[in-house]
Amino acid sequence: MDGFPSGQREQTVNLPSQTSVVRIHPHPPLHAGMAELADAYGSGPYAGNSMQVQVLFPAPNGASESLLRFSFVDILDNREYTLNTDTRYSRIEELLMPREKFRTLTEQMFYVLLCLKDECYGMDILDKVPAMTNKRVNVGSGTLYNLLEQFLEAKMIEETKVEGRRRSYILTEKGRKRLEMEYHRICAQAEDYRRLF
Amino acid sequence: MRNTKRVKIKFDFFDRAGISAYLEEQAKDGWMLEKIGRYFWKFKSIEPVSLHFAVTYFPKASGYDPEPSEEQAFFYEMCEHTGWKLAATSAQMQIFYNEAENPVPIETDPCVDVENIQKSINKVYKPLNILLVILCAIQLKSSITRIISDPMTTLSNNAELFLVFCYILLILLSLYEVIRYSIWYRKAKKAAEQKGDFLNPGTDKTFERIIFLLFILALLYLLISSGRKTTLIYGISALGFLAIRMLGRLLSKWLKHKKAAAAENGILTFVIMFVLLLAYDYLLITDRIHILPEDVENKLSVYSGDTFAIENGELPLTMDDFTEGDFSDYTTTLSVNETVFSAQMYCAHHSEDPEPDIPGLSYTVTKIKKPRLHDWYLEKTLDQTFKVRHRISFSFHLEYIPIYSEPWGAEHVYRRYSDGHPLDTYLIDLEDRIITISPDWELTTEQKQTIVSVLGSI
Repeated sequence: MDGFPSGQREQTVNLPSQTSVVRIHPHPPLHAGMAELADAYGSGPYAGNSMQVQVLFPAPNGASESLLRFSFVDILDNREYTLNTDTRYSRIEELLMPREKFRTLTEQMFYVLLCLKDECYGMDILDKVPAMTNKRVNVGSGTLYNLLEQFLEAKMIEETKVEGRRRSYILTEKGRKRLEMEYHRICAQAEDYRRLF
Repeated sequence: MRNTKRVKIKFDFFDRAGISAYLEEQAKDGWMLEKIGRYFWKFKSIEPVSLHFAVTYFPKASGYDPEPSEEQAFFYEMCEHTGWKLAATSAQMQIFYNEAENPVPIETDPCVDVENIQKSINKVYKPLNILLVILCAIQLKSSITRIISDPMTTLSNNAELFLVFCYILLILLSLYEVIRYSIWYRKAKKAAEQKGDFLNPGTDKTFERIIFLLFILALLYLLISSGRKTTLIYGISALGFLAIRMLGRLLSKWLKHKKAAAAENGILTFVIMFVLLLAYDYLLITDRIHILPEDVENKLSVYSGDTFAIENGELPLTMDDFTEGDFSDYTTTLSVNETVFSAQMYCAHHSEDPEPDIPGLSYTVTKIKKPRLHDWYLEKTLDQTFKVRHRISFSFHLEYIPIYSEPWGAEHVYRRYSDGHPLDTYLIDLEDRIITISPDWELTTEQKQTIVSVLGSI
């Protein structure tokens, strides 16, 4: 965000999906040629269907604040969505699509995916997760079984080996991106915390 | 000291917390769950021990599975990895126990947990209840159509009204279950997502108990208001249906033992039971099988109620009242149906000789207990214009037309016509009753007056 004037103006945008990037554009044609004003990486918190995005600059001269256009990139399917708003400081609600599965990862989902960064037997995850979290996080066998099924269905992991009842899995590219998105979200939260305390 | 005991199931299928807590108590008292039956749980005696129990649901499992599938076996292994041993299963319900003091629970993510239970509900429980609602609604519609088109017969038939009542009860109970779990799912999903808590579905048998109580009261009324013969027939018929149900369960068990696939087992059992039930129902309705021996049936057929003044089961009117002759080989039929709305008596006096020229007599007297129903009964009975299609594809049109009533000594009399031709069927409308009579000859004035005088006063 270098080169842009500072100043905080909080505007809440309800986005239907967790995104990696929020771009804020001036409404054409006032500033033609200016692709974007700023990127706001996952300004959280993301809860339910809304994500708070901080607009860290005043509107450029001549641009009506009310005509800023927001767009966001959905990291999982790489599509760009655009929301137009003509209301200043107001909550914009635009539900483009219903909230999809795994837009939010619980702590258990996160660690299961993390374990599958490298090929790993499903059963071994039960021991790996408490080991890597110093026993802070435990995944139940029922939960793990269901998560592996769901991740397979969502193509976030794939089965690599089946030896009798021992099955091993590994993250797919989609799963890797999703994990990365979650990592960014957590970092953004941590950053918010550090800024305040 | 006994080694096993059976306990009636008192928890709802999805009440995990309730079931677990109960089993933990039982283990402390020295009882271990061994088997989950349809209505009872079987426990075996053990040394009292402190155990943790966990109930989980495997949506892909079925009551027809001959043995655990590969996936289920994999699931059991994963559970065993963390110390959870399988105690018993019932279709999708899997119950585990753990001897460790603080074992890692089998379900640790409420969001995943809620979705898993919802999957199990949607697999069998919800579709079955919805199917029941649909089937009962179809039957109910059919019954209501019959009541509207022919109230005089149907509202005098306590079995018909009992069935209508049962359909309504079943619809209410099934809808309640579907709605209850839909509400639970919404609340549980919210609690899991927003607070990270698991909302247990719990056990709620209050509504079920009310429905059951209403059913028992209706059944008692049916049995008390039916004649002894009818009551006995109902009871024995019900046993027949239960026997078919038991046969179905035995067949399913045998197929499981033979390792038949779950789908094949389920379909085959369903089809065979359906066919058997239909056949049994058909045989009962068409009187092809006699529930009671003839002498017992005759003895029990003697009317003992007080709505109609009939003595010793004798018909109020027989052929002897109209003509001279030898009627010793004639059979008599008398049946009475009664409800709080009206009572209907059907009598017939016919020769056993199928020769069409031999006269016979049949009549129905409907006593209307609620005067407000009178006009409706009459209107609907007169409205019944039938289009009857014969096997060789011709049809004729039946209807009641008012006739000159003075010879009868009644205010309103109607005669049935077929495509404009008069038939020997009459409807006599009296203040408190409606009489239909079908003599096989043309009545004289004196006979008409006898009919009204006798049947109008019983």
